[in-house]
Amino acid sequence: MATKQQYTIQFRNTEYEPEDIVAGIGRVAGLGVMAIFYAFPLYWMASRSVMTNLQAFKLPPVWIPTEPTLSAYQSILLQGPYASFLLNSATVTVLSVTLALVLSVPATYGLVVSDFPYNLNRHFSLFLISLFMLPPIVTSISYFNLLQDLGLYDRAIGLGFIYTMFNIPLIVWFTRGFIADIPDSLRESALLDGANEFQVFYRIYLPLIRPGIAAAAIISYIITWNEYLLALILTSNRAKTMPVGINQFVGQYNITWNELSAGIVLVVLPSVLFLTVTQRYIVSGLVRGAVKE
Amino acid sequence: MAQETSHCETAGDSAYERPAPDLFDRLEEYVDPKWIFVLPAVLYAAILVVIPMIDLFALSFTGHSGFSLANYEQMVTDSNFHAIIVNTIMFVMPSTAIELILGVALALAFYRDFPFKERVQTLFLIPMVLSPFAVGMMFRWFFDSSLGIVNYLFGQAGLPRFVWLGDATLAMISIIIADVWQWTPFVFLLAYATMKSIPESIVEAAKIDGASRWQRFRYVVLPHIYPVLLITALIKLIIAFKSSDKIFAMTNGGPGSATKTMTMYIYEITFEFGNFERGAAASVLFLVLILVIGNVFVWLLRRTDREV
Repeated sequence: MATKQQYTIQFRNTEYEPEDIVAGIGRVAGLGVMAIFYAFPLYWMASRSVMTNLQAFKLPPVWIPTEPTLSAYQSILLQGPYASFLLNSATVTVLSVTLALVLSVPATYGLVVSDFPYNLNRHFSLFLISLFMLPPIVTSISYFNLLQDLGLYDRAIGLGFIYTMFNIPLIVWFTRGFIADIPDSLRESALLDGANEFQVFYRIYLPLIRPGIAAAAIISYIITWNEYLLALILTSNRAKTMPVGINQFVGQYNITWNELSAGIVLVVLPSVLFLTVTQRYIVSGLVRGAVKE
Repeated sequence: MAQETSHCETAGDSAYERPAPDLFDRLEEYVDPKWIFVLPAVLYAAILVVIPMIDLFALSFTGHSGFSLANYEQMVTDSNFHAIIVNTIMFVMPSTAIELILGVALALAFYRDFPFKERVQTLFLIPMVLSPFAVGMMFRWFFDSSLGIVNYLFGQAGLPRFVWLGDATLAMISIIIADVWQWTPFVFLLAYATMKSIPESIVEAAKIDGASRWQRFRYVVLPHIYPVLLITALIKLIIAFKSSDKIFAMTNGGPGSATKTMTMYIYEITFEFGNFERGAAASVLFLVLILVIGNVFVWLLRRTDREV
């Protein structure tokens, strides 16, 4: 110990070993490289979206937009079909997240607080959570036929119903820990006081697990809003959502780069805004889902 | 007894008041409410999963004239199909491994405070919430051989320029880079949150005992975050197996079928070539593959003495 102490370096009243300083420089350099690696693509898309098409793909690149213009946004929102793609995305997302919450939050509550015969608590929970492993492509063949039969193919409602299924495992998974954390005695004393099970659920549990529901809803929203494959298979024109719609910027002969950038910004902007406002919930929800139990 | 009383008081203190009898009181007389809570979700999922699965199995054993194993036979002997499995694994495994290493490294860098930490953390979390297809389009542009910024910077630095997305190996590397960009934050977030829960005194004690930086990581931090890393790896593997949005955007499976994964292969034979039976057989094999991998991880988790 004593020999080690001899080589320390003083800086702002703290002693540092040479090893610490090397590690510190490495850490700062690594963080810097990562920050550039992460910030650059975001900056690139945002800056290209406020340029003219010529400026957008010019090399050597125009690093900073000198005369920012919203023409790309104007043309895709007013002329193209993208406004309707955005509307479809919103409809599908709101429908499926809401329906999935209505189905899954009570189910999770029931599975956590009550006892089912035949070990069904475990079987049902495993069933609902393991739905996460299901690759959408595997069931898409049946969904395609099902929606055709029901006349819901290429309809936002049809796609919303299918997405609901994929949101169920997420919501069960993210709200389970929050529900399990509430002491059982709270429920029991309410039941003793004459409340029925439903009142216990919506008067006591729902207000208390609001953060968990928020986290689950946000994560489901993000995954639904961004989904590509099922939207590609289950819609063709009328109900096309934004992620699939982006493909249309890549025309047969040329790509309008500034409009592509603006399209990408439009599809990711709501999620980024959501993240910055609700980061706390997303982080706590994700961490709780994976870390706890 | 004492405990019970205190809980009763808690209930009394809360906003809860004895509610008026309502419709649900009547409902409760006929059916145990727990079923009403649970069954809608279970039935909904059963209808949209169990029925399609039966459908899928039946379809996969359907030949030109009734029952047949031809769909499976064709696939098992088809070298293209083998290549697709290899492609899938060559995408899923390296990307997940790199993301785990980078994510943990990033979490270690965040373990100590630095200026603007919160802002930087937000920056690192953004890619996770973006549409994978949109991310694929971005990176397709970056790796474009003539208009891409990567080749431009390579040229400026005096390095050779590559046809990134036109070469079998380079295309896969480009896709993995895009995937690493998007999913490293996920590993980082979970690893960092778990690391924060390590009591500082343990790390300090190891330091005072003369443990080197590496030893402190290997014997103190890593065992602590290991179970969470396993779960994270499993989630990431499943996401990687399930999704191919980025590949659709960047190469559409090309050049040739060098970057075609299981999902894309099934999509192609089913919805482009219209061969639903073979698509179903491929889907069944894909499911088996995912279940095997999922179970390996569950087994690994069990070994860490942790209930799943």
